[in-house]
Parts: sequence; C-alpha cells; structure tokens
Amino acid sequence: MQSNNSEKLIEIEWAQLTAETVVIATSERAWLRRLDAFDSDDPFAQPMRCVGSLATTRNLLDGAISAAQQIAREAVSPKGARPQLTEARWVWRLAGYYRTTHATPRLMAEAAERFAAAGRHALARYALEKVRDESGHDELALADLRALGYCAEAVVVELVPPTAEALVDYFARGVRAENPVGCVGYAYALERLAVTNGRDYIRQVEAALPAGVRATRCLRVHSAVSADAKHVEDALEVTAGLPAEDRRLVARACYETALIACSPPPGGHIAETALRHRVAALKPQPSTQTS
Amino acid sequence: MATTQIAFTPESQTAWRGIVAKAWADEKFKSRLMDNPNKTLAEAGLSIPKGVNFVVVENEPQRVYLVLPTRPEDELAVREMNHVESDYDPGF
Repeated sequence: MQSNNSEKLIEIEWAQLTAETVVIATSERAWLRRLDAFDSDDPFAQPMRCVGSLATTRNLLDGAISAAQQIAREAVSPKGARPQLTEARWVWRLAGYYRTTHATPRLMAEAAERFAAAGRHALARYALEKVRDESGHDELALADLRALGYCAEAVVVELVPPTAEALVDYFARGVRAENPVGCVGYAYALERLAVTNGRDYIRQVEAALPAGVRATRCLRVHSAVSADAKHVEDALEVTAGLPAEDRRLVARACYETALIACSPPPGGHIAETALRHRVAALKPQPSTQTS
Repeated sequence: MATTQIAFTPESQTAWRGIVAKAWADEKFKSRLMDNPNKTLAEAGLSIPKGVNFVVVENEPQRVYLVLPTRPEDELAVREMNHVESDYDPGF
C-alpha cells in the first residue's frame, strides 16, 4: 500500500522509549502506548522514517518527558515523596545544581567537537551556543551557597546528590556514544523541566530561607522567568530538522533524562536530620572574641 | 498504563510466527485456529490473558484487513507538566 499525496498525510512522529512502550505524537497530542504482542504489522513497532515538524516534534519530546514523569510518579512510595523545603534542603539542591551546571560547558564543548568532526554543522553550532549560554551557571550556585553563609567550595565537594551525579554520568555517556545526538535530548529535558518552576516556586524557596537572604540566583536562571524557555525552543528547532533516527534518539534521551531527574534516588531521599547534621559542618561559625 | 494489554515480547512474536507457518502448512490447524483461537493459541504454547478474546482473520490478495491498534489509555500531558517529585531541581 502506498500513499500518493503527501499533502494529505497526517503529521505524526513516534519513538520507542523502552522494549515495550512507544510515545506517539501528533501536532495536537501525545500518547504512551504498549506495543501489541501479536500484531506483526503494528505501525508503531517500526522505526519512524518521516520528517519532523515543530508541532509534532514538540509533542514527541514533551510526551517522552511526560511518560517518564508518569512512571516516576507511579514508583514514588511515601519514603520517596518530595521532601519539604528547608534551608538544609536548599543547600542540598544547590549542590545538585552545581554538579549538573558545572559539567555542561565541558561536555557540550566535547559534543561540539564530535559533531564538527562528523560534518554535522547545525548540531555543532547548537552545542557551541550551549557552551556560551550555560557557562558560569555553576558560579550562581556557589554564590547562592555563600549568600547562605556556607563555604561553597566545601559544600560542592562534600555533598554530591545522587540524582545530579547520575544525570552527569548519563550526559557524559551520551556525548561519548557512537551518535552523540542524545545530548540534545538531555539539554531539552532539563531545560523543559526547569521552566515548570515559576514565580510560585521561587517564592516557596525564599520563604524557606532566612529573611533577606538572596540565594535563588541559580533557580531563577533555570526557571520560567529566565531564558530557558527560549533555550527549549532552540533545542526543539534543531531537533525538528534532524533525520528520523536522530529524533528518535533525542526523544529517548528526553525520556531517560527525565526518568533520572524525576525519580527519587534508589536509596530514598536523605533524611532532614542527617542532612542538617552534614550541612552544619560546612557553615563556618563566627569566631568568638575573647578578652 | 493499561494492564490488560498484552505485553510485546520477542518470545511471543516468535511463537506467533511459528503458528502462522503451521497454519499455512496445515489446513485443519488453520481451521481450529480461526474457529477457536484462544484454545488453539494456548495449545500452541501462548499464555492467554484472562478476559481477552482473540480473533484470527486471514488476509488474501483481494481482501486485506487493516488492524487499528488498541487505543492508548494514557494521553500524555504535554501542555502542563507537573512539578517533579524528586529532590533535585533541574539545571542544565
């Protein structure tokens, strides 16, 4: 059976996320579907070969992230629920921010070199733009830690949140994979998730911190009030123009990145008491004057 | 995610291919398969999920069945994403 009028074709994209699941996107919506066992002609069991469009690629990537969030939510036990925000918890989150933002310029520069060597100039330009856009964001996390009175350099050495560490490992593996295009999916997923944090969330964080302390620079830059919304569009534009196999790899990287970012760590969250004990040791005490 | 939908596994695909080949070679088996699919598929080693009724049809050169895959139960939220439940705030 052949199609004889490409103008009448309904735009659709899909990507297999796991051995059994596929995300399917039109310009209006996205679905998560289990592949049928006995349908050897299942149209979504075959790799997509069609071209992308901004509307369908957006839903493909957002659908992949949403699928990961759904799976992460289903896996959350009472022990895994998001812990309440406290000053100690914010120090922990800032250590996580530092870990991922510190890795970005170095790994994206490596990706840019690999794209350029393969003659993939649009992807090389995108990666170099990310190096420029994201450089110095780790300094914002350090500045926030200092504003809270902590020895920032000691905090980021002593506190290594497992989720952030797993994300950086995943990012590095993607950059060094045979086809490094998954790094676009990693970037898209983290920036897309970042823009779900808006002014309300910034206010919640500020309310958990001592009055007058300005320690949300890093959060603001990675939120809906920053340029990250434009960065999401940049990644989308680059992805929509890629061949089908690359879009599949980007969608899969979105899914895998979001699954790491949205799931509680395998061992559960660090308890508040233990966290307070650890961060207290990283806050220099004011020296006492003796006469 | 629908739990009644049948899982896609390489083993079930391989088993189904064997059943197709046997039906091509054995008219009696093909008749049994089309008349009583659940029983015949189970006898051929497939695990039949409770509450699922299989229907076997046969394509011919002048009559081709197009099967609409099961409609997914889960439409994904692509406009409004919820805040994540992890203890990590995303920063690229």
